[in-house]
Amino acid sequence: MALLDARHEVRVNGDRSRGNRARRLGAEVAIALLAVASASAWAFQDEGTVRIGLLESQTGVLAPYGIPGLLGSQIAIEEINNAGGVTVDGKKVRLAPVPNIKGHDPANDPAQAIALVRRLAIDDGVLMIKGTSGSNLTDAVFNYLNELERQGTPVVVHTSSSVAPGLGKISKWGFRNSFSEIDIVYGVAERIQKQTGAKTAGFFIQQDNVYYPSIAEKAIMPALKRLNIDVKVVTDGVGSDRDFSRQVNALRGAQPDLVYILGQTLPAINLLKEGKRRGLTPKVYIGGIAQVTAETIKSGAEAVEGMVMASSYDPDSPAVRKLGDEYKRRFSQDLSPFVVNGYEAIYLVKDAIEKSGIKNTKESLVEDRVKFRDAYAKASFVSVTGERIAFNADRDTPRAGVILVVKNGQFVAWNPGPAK
Amino acid sequence: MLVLEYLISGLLFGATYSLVAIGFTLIFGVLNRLNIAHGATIMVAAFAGATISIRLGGATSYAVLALAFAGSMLTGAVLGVLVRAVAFAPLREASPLAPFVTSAAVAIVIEESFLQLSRRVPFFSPEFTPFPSILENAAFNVGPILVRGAHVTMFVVACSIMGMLHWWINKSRMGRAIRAVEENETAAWLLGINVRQVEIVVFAVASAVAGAAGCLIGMSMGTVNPFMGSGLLLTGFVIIVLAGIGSLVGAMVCGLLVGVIEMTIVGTVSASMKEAVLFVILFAALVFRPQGLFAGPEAKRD
Repeated sequence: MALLDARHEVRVNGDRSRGNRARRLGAEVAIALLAVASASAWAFQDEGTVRIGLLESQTGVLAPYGIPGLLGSQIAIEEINNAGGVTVDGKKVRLAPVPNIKGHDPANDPAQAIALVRRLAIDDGVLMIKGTSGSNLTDAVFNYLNELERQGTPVVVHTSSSVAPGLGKISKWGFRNSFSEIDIVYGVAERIQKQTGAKTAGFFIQQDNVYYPSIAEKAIMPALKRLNIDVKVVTDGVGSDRDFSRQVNALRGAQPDLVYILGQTLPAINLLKEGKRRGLTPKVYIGGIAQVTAETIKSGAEAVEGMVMASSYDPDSPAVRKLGDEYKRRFSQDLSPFVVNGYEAIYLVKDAIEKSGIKNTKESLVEDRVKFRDAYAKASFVSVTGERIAFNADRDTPRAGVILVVKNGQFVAWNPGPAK
Repeated sequence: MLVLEYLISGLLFGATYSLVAIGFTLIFGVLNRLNIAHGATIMVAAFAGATISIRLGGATSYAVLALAFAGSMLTGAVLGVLVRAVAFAPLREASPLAPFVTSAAVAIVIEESFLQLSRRVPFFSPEFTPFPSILENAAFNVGPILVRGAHVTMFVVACSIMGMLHWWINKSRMGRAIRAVEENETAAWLLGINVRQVEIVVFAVASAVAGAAGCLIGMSMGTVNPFMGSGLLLTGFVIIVLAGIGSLVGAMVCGLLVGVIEMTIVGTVSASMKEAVLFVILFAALVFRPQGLFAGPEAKRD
């Protein structure tokens, strides 16, 4: 028994000794990794990089908007780096995405988004952050930017997929190039009225997304009033609705000349399908930027034929088509406004970096961020959409936009011929 | 007249809710545990049906649609067995809450996997994927009321499945074994019933039924998406509490009832009110008849 105990003791001591060695080795490796990580965490001009944070929702319900935005930005970053990078302080440096080209994922959690912005701004020392996805996250993050400014560590955050009105007013550090339909609502309605002679309109408004009631009340209805178009019926729904017979019955009862569909892609498609089944035939169905997605064509099929909508770009223009081909080749998906906006945003960043006069060193980071912000507010470049993009006083990028129509299963510029 | 149309639509669509709730309640009956991954099973099965329909031309063929339906049921059954193996079987002796957490984790993993898959598989779409169906535009008028062919198909198929399930549970040897395990697992084991086998069969059948529901809903909506199961899980939960947890007939009837209530509220009041009204009903049921509308004394649990 004593012998067994002694053997056991020896084995235990041996294990303990091996355990200690393993722990020591582990600690040494951890310290070495930390040293490497912290060295790379502060790589600036000396290393030939300028650091930008990437923060887009890649999981959860915002992923359909965050992922295309991220992939569009990835294409732009790689294009810029392959062409030599950006010029900082007279030297070409590469754009270095942080944490990497895949970015951080805050999912649909505002607290997580704020924590990651803090990490990128304070721990990782990025010059600016490209993100976040969706208006709710962006609202929380833009408010947090004011807090960071009070703490003396402000940083520019640029979103390319948050469309709620008024977001740009929250913080002077929050920018966006999401397409704002509000700017072109009147022009679209006026052109359609001239074309069709429309005198009445009906609305479907998705109520569980603040954007749609807001754009209806603040922009579309006042525009129709100015054009003497009478709003005969307003019907509502939510994103999770599975049946649209009520809404279509209400619209059919009023027989409006125009039917505005203010909702996300899926409710819009389902409403149009129900409209087709029930013989709802207005002169024109009018959608929005949310309908300019491959899903509208794939799932809407013939029900969406003839629908018109305002868009930030013409999918048929050569440069957009080239980007679309590249996107499809690399990611096996069709182009969407979120890809285009994500792509465009990085070129705005490039323009501002090159004009900002930053030093791009660890010591100059706070000063560089201020310089970058000031230059960013004045940044401008000709986008892949063919339009010159620049920020207004609310840090939005207003655009002329184009009117598209779904024709033979494709989005094409609306060109209906002589007015009726 | 419109109200009558909403009542009919609700009744027809509610049959799929019954299928969702039956699968949910079958598993609870045998294991006394909620399977939170049931919604994810519905979603995966719906994707399987959509894939068959997209690839083989479900928009123009009833045969392909039938194949898609069979594929959905089979996928549901296989996934159900896997969910049991991962989230339930290793935790037989653990706290009753443990499978709740593990099945929720499995559901999240499945949903996120399909979200990633949706943007990598060329014929899927990141936001939602089409489920082409020859029944898409089929509709007919009964007097002034428009009835969708897809809804009638859903109702007939769902009622047939419910009928077969009712017979199977009450008349077949396996059905008797399931009821014995539901009643008292230890006594059933002492009588020579292979409880583990019963569990596997119940998971397979309940998940196949969930697969059928997923396929019918996807076909009716014309689209599927990675989160479609989460909302249905909530509806299924309301139904089984309303019916009485473990009551199959209750789940069938209350599924139809919830469909009718939901559609009528959406049609006559507002779409944004439907969930609020459902939860008011749930609350009232819990206050005035906590054992559920269809639970007998034998359904009372420890």
